Amino acid sequence: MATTPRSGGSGSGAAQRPNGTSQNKSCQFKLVLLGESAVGKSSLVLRFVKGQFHEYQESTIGAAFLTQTICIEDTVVKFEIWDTAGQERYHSLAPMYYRGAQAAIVVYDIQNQDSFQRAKTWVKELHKQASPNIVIALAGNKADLSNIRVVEFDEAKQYAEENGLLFMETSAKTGMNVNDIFLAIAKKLPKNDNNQGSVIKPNGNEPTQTTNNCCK
Amino acid sequence: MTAAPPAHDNGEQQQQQHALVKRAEDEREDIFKRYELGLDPNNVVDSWENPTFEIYHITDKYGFMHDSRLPSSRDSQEVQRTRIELERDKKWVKMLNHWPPPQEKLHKRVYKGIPDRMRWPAWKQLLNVQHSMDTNAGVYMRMLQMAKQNATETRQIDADVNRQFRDNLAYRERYSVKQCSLFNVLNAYSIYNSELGYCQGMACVAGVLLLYMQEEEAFWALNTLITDRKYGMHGLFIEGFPKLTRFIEHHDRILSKIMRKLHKHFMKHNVDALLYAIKWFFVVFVERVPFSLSLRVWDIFLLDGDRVILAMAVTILYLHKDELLRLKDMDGIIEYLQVKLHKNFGYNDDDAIQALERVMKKLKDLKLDVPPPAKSNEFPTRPLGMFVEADREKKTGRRRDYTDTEKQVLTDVISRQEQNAIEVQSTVSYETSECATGDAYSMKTYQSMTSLATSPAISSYSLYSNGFVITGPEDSRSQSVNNLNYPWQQQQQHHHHYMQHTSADRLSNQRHSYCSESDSRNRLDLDRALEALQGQQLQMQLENQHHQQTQPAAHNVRTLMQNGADNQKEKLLNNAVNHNDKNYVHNVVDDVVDDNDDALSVENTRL
Repeated sequence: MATTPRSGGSGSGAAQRPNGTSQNKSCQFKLVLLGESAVGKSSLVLRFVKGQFHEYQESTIGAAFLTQTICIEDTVVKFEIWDTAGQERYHSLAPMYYRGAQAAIVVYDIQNQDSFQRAKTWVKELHKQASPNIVIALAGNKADLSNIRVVEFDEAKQYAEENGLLFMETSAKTGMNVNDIFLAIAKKLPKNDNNQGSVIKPNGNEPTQTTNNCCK
Repeated sequence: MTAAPPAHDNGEQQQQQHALVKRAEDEREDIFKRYELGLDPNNVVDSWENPTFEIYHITDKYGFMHDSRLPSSRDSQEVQRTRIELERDKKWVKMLNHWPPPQEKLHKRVYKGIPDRMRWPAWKQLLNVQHSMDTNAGVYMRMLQMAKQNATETRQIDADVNRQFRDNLAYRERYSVKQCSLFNVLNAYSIYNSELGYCQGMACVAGVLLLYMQEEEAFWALNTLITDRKYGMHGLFIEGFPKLTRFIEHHDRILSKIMRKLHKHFMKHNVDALLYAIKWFFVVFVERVPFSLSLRVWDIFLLDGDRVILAMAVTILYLHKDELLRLKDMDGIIEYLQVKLHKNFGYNDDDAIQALERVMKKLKDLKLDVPPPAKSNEFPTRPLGMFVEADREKKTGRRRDYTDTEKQVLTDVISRQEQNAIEVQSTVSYETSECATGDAYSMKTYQSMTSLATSPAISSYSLYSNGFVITGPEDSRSQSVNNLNYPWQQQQQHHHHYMQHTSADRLSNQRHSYCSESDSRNRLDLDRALEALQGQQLQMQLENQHHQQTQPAAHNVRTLMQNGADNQKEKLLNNAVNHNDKNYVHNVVDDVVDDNDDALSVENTRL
């Protein structure tokens, strides 16, 4: 994949630090998953973090928290992932998870038009309430079932472009684009130490092997 | 039987008879042929006909299938347990025939564990199911019929039924009898208690009930759990989760009193109780501890009501305290509580339940067993079974704006998180200060609070109050503190006035708010000390050991306790209590708290 171009973002100290080329930089980002119930939020996280897929993933009550570390070029990126419950009733707890988040993945199910509409509502809410520089990705999940899709790829892509979102169709079941969407987010996030993301000590956590793009 | 069928054409009848005989003959021939073939590899054997059939080996006695084979032979302990359970079966049969039994006897037997075969009748008795069914004859079927026409939660229920206990034989097959029952019960209940509707978590509760009961029984059992004040799950599942908030606060209160070290450890690593306890409370530990243990907790919960939930939460943390203290990051701690304990609890069920019983006793001694009383919003206000047509938003399942209740929840949760952060920070700095005398103490606290607003290390998570993380180059943190309001918070300034101030103002204001009686969990150590003085042990210490010195402190404390007025209290804190007294109170409280911890440890080692 291409090298780190980054969104400039509000003229903040966006330039990467020229020093420290020998030592890896470490960044930590808070990422939240949002979207309607049963679209596959927990499954995406499970695939990304543990490389597993459960056909019958239990419904998330409240929220789950997991972490995964990946490497991009000279930077170790640790994602703190907040996986939220999808039911409307739990909506009031969501801001607790997305506040302070530097990234969000809004998930819908390509077989379910309603879930796409709900995803749009989430995007709207994030734009309104979350951190202004938040990187948002839209994930059309269950792409392995694209033969019975209801939400067209182009429709979602166009919506994503209009709203400045990253967009991919994913399949937690097959693993398609799962690592890629997290990687794309990581690349878009500013990684200079004094800006976003608290810095974690280098050599703290060894990056896991799940992602193929990890440092060798 | 019905009347004889009309006389058919004779020939047709004969033909049918003939066909039946022919079929029986073919069948016989086929069976003989298979036995003649014997072990011949060409013989047709269905996989389930052989003992190697995997499901036999991976399914436990509750019908749950595991990833690998279970032990094939039972060890002597298991044999012993089965023998005891058979004995208990008999006792329970007798007891159930002479219901209600003496309380003491029932208590003893329930804590020993209701034998699994007896759970059906026993749970029904404990939840008064038969009575509900008798007094509400026909209601369930009517609700189910109405649900077919009017339910608005069907899509969500369907999604959840499709993934509830799919590793259990009863729910494994899509549209199996139990899956259908679960679907029906939840839909019917969403109509019966239309105020509550359906909330994720209820599928798990009803799912457990259905493992032991018939459909209509489970419906009424669920209703008792939700609406009876003893269990009060309505308040957990209703919009805004008022009971969750109340219980979490009490949970924190307990931790801060008897497991301070762990409490601080959790706060330090941003492990909010909301994260791990929500599922514990909503489904009473199912899928968070091994199923057999969760059943034991359910037995006791059904007998003694919701205080069991709080006690079990403390028990789990207590039994695993050392392990949890060794884990130095949030994901490790969460993984431990959410995943590891479900797979392997590390204690057998009897030991865990004995620990629970001790914790319940301990909490009672410390007067911590009962949380503050519920407010009216935790119970249905509308008559049950009354049909109310859903509004259009509900019907279409469209997202609506936050309601006032939800906004309040959010505000509360967020300010709670922040205060946690402040509290942990102030405790830490207090501990590190060598000379924690009166003014130095408050100065230190003040500094730590203000430093919170400027210290990058801890502010990234805790002080960004509303997601408006200002990522500008310079003074991002103070900006974020200035920018503290959700739109709706502005309408609620009288509740959360401190949110508006700049960091220092706000934090010093917050000190005042600690003195509010309504929010005792946020009090600083000194306030805790005052509260702890209410405990008997402390009184004894005061009277027996340090009678002379403690006189002034104890006097002040009593004045404080009698004096509800917040400002008075604050004044007294600052003026009346002299340095030495304050120090002393701290020390004593530390002793008492450690004693409490130790008291539990001693019991723990006896497990």
